[in-house]
Amino acid sequence: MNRMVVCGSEEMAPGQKRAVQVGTRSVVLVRLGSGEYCALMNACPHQGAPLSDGELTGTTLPSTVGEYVYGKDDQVLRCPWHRWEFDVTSGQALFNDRRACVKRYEVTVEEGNVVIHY
Amino acid sequence: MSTLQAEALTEGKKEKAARFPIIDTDVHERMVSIEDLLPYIKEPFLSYMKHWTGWGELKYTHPIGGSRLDSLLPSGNVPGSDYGVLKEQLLDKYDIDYAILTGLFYPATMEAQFELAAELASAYNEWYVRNWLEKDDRFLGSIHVAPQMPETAVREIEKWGDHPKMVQVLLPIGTAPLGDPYYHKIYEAAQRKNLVIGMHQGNSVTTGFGQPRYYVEWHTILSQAFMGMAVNLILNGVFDKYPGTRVAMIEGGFTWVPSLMWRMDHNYKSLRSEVPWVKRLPSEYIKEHFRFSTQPIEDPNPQHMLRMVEMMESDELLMFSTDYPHWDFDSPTRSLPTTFSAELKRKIFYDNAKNFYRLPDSPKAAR
Repeated sequence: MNRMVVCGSEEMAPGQKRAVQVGTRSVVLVRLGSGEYCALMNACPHQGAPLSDGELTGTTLPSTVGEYVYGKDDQVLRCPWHRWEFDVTSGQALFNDRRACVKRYEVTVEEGNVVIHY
Repeated sequence: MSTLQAEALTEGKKEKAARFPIIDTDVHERMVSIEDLLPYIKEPFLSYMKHWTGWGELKYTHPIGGSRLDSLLPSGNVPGSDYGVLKEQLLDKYDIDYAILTGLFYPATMEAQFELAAELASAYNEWYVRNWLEKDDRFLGSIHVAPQMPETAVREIEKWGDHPKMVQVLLPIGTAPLGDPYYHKIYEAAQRKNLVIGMHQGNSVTTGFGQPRYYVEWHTILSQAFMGMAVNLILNGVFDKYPGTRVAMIEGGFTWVPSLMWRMDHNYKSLRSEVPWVKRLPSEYIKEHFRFSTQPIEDPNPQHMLRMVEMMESDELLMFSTDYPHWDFDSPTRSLPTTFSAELKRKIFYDNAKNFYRLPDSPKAAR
């Protein structure tokens, strides 16, 4: 497996995202509110839009009829085109279809650097 | 003559003698009946008048008559109102094992006087259980309710829900969005009593642009209302809230089902956050919770019809129906396409409805 330093560990504030080039592929790097990093392939599995152009947001969680429970703040990446929602910690779409999943990359912080493993 | 009458007459004389000339701009003369007009009506509309039922809920006078001509009764009574004729023309002729009665009297779609609607639905149950449902072992019943009054509807479901021949609660489709939480207690009661929800179009059902000009337009496009209702039920969370809810869509067509599943899933994937109570892809609710009656089955290239069933991704969604005694009746022996296998036909004619309505095997099938 390859590894690549993509930025310094304090370059991005919590709640930010950016596209980074890792080898031949584009990856969207996200810093969660907790300070941890996640990385997903920067292409929506639906029609290929760059997820890094989308919105990092929260969303409504599964609830009972008529009730809105907002959660997963800054943990949901919403595609810029059709607004499919992905949990950046799993790559899984928020709707219940296992096929709708974005490839995840392992991210580590090593000696002040953010490293993506691919 | 009473004093009062005398006074009234005197009063009348006084009025006649009023000093002003009078023009009354609203006086209602009436015909004895619509027949008074017949000498003045030309064809083709003179033929329409054979089917005139007044300006009721149905906004159209049927251009060709709403029933099979051989179902017309010598008495002049409404077709379908004579048990003996129905038994002969349908039950015995086609050796029907079970016939689910759906009536055609739907106060459920009244848009005013909801208390009256509830009373009429209740009265209809009393009448038809005695005069129809219990008359023939093959009949199964639908509980008529007025969903406009949900609490009253629940009481009606509780009243009849344990009747051994009642298999569904009938919620005709009018203009009300029956997936709205306002109606949810009806689904709770139906689930508790292990009853299917039957949805059949009511006469007041409209299309996306209201009431089209011709009956043929309305009859073609009323399936819109079934599509809308399926979407409404699913996205308002009826099946998440009451997972035991089963909905039979009756006479609304079915060839639109694949398209609706695709379109609803497509939209849901983008807009799920608006309806977070919906936990699964909408198409999954269709396959699990809905069944569709076959009549009036369209008559395209038979290969295409088979493909349409394949696109539904299930051979368990269709249930046969004739719609007796109506003009667009489907014959049990001639209406299903030749491309349907014996196994598929068996499911459509019997297994799917038996499983969905949770019926015991018919005496004939058990043999």
